[in-house]
Amino acid sequence: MPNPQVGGDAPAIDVDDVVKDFQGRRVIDHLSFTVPRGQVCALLGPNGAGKTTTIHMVLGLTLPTSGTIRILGTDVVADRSGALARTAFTASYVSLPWRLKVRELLRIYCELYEVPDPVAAIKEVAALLDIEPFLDRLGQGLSTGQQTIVLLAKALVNRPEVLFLDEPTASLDPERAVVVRSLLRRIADERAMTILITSHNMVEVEKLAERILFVANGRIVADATAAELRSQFGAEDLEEVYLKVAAGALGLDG
Amino acid sequence: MRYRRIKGVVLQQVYVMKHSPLRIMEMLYWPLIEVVLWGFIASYLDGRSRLPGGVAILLGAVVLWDVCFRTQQELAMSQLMDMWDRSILNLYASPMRQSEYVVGAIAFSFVRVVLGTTLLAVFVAVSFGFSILDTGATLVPAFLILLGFGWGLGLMIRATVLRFGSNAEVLAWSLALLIQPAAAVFYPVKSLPGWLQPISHAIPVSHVFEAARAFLARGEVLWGELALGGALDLVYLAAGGLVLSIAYRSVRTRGLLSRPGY
Repeated sequence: MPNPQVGGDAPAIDVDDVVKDFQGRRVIDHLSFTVPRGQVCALLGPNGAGKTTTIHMVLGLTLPTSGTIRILGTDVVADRSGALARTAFTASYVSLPWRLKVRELLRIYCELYEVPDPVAAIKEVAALLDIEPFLDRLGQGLSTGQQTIVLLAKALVNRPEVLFLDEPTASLDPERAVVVRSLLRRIADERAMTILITSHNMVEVEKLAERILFVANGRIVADATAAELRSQFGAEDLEEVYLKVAAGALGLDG
Repeated sequence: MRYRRIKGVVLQQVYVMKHSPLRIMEMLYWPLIEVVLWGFIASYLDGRSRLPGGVAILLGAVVLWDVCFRTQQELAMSQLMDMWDRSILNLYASPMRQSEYVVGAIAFSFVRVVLGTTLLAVFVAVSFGFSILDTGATLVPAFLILLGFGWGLGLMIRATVLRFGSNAEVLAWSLALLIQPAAAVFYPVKSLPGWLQPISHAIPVSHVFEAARAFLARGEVLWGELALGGALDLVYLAAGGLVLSIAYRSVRTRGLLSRPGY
């Protein structure tokens, strides 16, 4: 089991002067930010801004060209396995394995994350997300919405301290999305869990995130709460802020 | 390496096999077809050939070659199944190390190969009267060298599939078959063209088949051949591990892991 003492008072996520070039094209340009433990932080930005690349670099799926990334004090490039031990990830573009039952999928991830009591952990997360009725069904037999919920269960089964969500509710109907959103907010509060989330749903971001990092062209162009951003940009809602910041970043505002 | 993460990888393979009848059937279907074919050919040639122990040599070669072929295929298939099921991103976003992924796949492939080979050996003994135990003292080292070479090839295929995506899956079916003619499975190395013989000597399993033929024909154990085969195995395993680690770094540098099937 991972040692909860590791990392001490280090921030949950620490991205320091990170650069990423793909075939000579700079997609992340000296990006730096820190997410303290227990904060829900959103990465916003237009398509191609570098949000997913940032999350993938934080998870060690993509290597930065330069700079350092630490999760709970552990360097992701030097010790990816150690850094990810107390994290979890899910995204709208991640698929549920077709040939596994939901219970089997959760059991596998209990082993990969070395969860002490897998049976109890599966029972807890199944009750939390109301997935008991399809625990013994194969992934291929579930609707897209149900698959998204199961993948969220997979991301919560190890009780992560840091959760990475890339467009987590993109395939959910509005009713289910509201339920998931309030559930995530409640879990974050109860467990002091850190969440780094990307979303194009401004309502979702406003309801979930305490802090918004606006990314454009691989750089952070705004870092504030939703209320601060609205006031800073003289906007009525976050969507208007989004459009103004995106237009500015793309050089369309003049 | 952590035991529970390796267990997680093995569990995934076991669960997938449980829900995929083809994965169970393929353990025996193709090897049986091959054994039946070669069994009939060997029976026909028996008595018409001056080759001592001809039937045993042919059937022994079929059973032993299947160990190598099946091992490389199992190791490659487990990764391909994860790509087809689009589980790769889930797995790599967990704390699982590449080494744990590979060791879990090797452990699973070992069980499937031992089971499949045992069933095949029993079938050959019952149907054609040839016991694989007739290979005597060469059997255990031969089996281990064949496994090692299969794993070495399997690692190289995994590296290629990881780097180039499921487009490279054809290698999982064909790499061992491409090597087979030079591996002197059914005939001695000296019967190959001169230019091909050095290549054959560089393949670990050609030494295994030389040793197995010598034992079946003359009852002689060629320990030198087996030792050379084992040493070459280590080179192929090290090369496979190195290529896989280079491929893993390359896909992370290029950000390819997030593209399903690439």
